[in-house]
Amino acid sequence: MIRYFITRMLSIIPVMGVVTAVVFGLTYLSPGDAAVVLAGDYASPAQIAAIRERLHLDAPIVPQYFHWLGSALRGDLGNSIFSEQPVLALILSRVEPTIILAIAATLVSVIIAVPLGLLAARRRGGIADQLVSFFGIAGTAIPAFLIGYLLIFTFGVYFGSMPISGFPGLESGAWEVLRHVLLPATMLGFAQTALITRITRASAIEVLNQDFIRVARAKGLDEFTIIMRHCLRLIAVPLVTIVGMSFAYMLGGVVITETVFAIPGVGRLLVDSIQHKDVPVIQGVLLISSFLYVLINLLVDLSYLFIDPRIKYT
Amino acid sequence: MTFSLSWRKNRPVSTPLLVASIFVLVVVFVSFLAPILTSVDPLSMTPDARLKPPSYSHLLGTDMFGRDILARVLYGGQISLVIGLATAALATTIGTILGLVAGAGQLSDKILMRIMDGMMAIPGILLAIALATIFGGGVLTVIVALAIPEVPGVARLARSLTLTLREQVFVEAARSYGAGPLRVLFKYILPNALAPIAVQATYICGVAILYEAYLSFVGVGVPPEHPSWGNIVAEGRSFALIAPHMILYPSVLIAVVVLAINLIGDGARDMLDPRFTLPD
Repeated sequence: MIRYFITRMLSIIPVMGVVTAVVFGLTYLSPGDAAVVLAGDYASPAQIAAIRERLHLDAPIVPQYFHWLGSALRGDLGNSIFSEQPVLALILSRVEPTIILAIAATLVSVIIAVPLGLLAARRRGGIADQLVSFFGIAGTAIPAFLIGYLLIFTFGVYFGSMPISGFPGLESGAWEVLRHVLLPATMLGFAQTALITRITRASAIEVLNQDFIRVARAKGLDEFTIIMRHCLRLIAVPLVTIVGMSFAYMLGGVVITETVFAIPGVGRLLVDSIQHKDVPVIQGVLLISSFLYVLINLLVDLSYLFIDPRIKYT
Repeated sequence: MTFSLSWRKNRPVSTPLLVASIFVLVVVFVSFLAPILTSVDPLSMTPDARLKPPSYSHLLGTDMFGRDILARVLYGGQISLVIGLATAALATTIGTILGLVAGAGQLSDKILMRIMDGMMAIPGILLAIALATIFGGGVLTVIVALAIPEVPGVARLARSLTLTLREQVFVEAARSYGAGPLRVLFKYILPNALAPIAVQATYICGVAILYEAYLSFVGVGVPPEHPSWGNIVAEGRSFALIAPHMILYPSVLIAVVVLAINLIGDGARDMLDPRFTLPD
């Protein structure tokens, strides 16, 4: 098992190798000189020359990549074209709302999706099941911004009870954060809620048809205990997988959510960087999001060992 | 008889599949017949009638330049549907070729699949945004930017199909008759792998229509002079509170069309030959 741990962790290296190569390659995809791209539209020839010098842009592409990779590993992702701040510091300064949002969205979707999926599986074929199944299919087709604006109009404007923009920061207390994060988290988690519902329903149907569930019923256990003790434990593995994947998806979804709700997070930083064609920041966001994605997948894979003792790796 | 991944014969078409297909066909016809169906120019501005809610003269209201939203949505369908189809076509073509090549040889498999694994680690919408930003605006750019993140998924599917198919007896027979590796790949394996890949293409088409809207929403989509469902919504962003109809109608249309396309995918998947289960 320890060997599995180590090989699984080492498997990150080739994946991140490709990720960094793609992210590094982005500067070369754009038409024109990489130094000009990195310097931005308003740079002077002297600035462009300085960038060429600093990033060894006259060197062949492979040494250049390793030079860039070396800096990235030391935490130097370059400077923003627009604000001239170091990219890593810029991203870290925006990371708090985004992480809180992604965690909240994951919680909201699990809290809604798992009971819905279980309900549908219990009443298979009934009206509840049909409604839930339809939601499972339709939920992923609805554009996220539509959900966002519907939430804003319903709870922000019509009932007027919820804040519809901004993010107060952790220091303003849990209640304020919760009030501000609830609507955006629902929007961000919406498609994932549909997906998790679908997986929960399908896995639960499979488990509920098995003999040991019949035995549990024959013993006279009530449905609640059967679901909680026997069913949930068995669907934990697919659930953890899909929740992990969902979290990763949300790293992309925050771009739309933070735009709709004017939240100053990493997603909003990316949107601002697009307007200025701020390539180093775009690269940084891409790199860090992908790294988080890879880390989460790793954690999900390793968690199987603890969730399901039947899984043994050698 | 050959083992095949083709469609099940004589299977009744399910109701959702039928309804969804008819709906998508209607949307396609209405969008491309827009110049005949409406005499309203989607680009003509009427400054007196800005941000008007739906009325008899403008069934879906007007935008901030007084342009008719119904006409824009109709014409916008052309761009959005073309982007959906072209993205699906591009991603499946590249992905299938890569998958076939990977499935054919051990070395190519190792190298290509490592690269695909790495690309899959980059969140798709973020990669699309980055690509669209760096390539600069335009319909073609959007198509390429949306297609690239979808390639690894198709490549994985095509690879696993190739790995399964190349062990089948009819491929063995073809090889023993002297068919070369390329002939085996394209003449024997590819035709039999097409049906599941077509199902995957359907889903990509739906995702692409949705993501086109997201790209427009963050400002790197199709330029505003060509209306698309996405950039109509994007233009409505600044007027969300005073003219919600600008966002509402195109968004609902996107939702229904993407849902219909996904239902077509689900229906087609259910019609795939059940003797064959897709490997993971």
